[in-house]
Amino acid sequence: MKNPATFARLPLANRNKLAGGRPRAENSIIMTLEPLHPIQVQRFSTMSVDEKWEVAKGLLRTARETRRAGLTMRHPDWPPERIEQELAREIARART
Amino acid sequence: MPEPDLVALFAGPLHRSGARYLVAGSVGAMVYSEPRLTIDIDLAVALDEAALAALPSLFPEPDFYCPPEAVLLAENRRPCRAHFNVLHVPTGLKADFYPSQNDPFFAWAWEKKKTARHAHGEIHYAPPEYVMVWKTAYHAEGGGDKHVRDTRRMIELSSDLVDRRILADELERRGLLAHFREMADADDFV
Repeated sequence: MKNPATFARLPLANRNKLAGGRPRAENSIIMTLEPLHPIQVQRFSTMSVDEKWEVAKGLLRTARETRRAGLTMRHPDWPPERIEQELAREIARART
Repeated sequence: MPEPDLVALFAGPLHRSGARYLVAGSVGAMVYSEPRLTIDIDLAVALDEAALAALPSLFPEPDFYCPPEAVLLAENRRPCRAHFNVLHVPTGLKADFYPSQNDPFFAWAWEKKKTARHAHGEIHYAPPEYVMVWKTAYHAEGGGDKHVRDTRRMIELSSDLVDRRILADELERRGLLAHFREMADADDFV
């Protein structure tokens, strides 16, 4: 495993190279792939499907909680039912 | 494995310790835009050496990986572009810490922070101008569709919360104003 402490200090392009990512695809699809930390590489490669599903559900919960907090700050006069209604509408059209 | 909450995992312990921190990046953008999934959280922090030394106790082994104290201290002393990671090992979720105690824009953002109540407690979020400036900086450095989408959605959904003069001045100070205008596709915004 690469040294986790020094990995974080490398320039993005070097981290991409070490992590096996490609900042630019060779074909017409242009994308930036953020490099994984060596601990993430190790963990994600050994994680079971069930474990990944639990993590994904947790991330969805984080997204819901964060947006609920944002909506509540933005609309302090809205009752909880309206906040939940708006949250559900946003989740329905959400992206990754 | 219980469902992990990225904010509760990393920002929660910082908040309870009384540290000066702001949730920024994609999670910070979400407060002003729309829900989306991410496996890491950006935390701008202003920690003195005592708070830094206490960091490993907030994120203890074996569940967390926290860099050695010497690395934390060296990063904290870096005048700019300081950075270190803390990871939650069982889930692979990651926090990017950005020591910012020397950044006057952090000091401004700290005064303008938005404190939100979550089920697990209160959390400090960076103001939208701070999130936008750093999204622009990272996009200028490494590209990334997510920064473009986050920024455009923030403008679409929360433009009335943004102090455009502050945003323009800070972008100008960092030489990022033209980049922001192109990235945000909003020449008339700032």
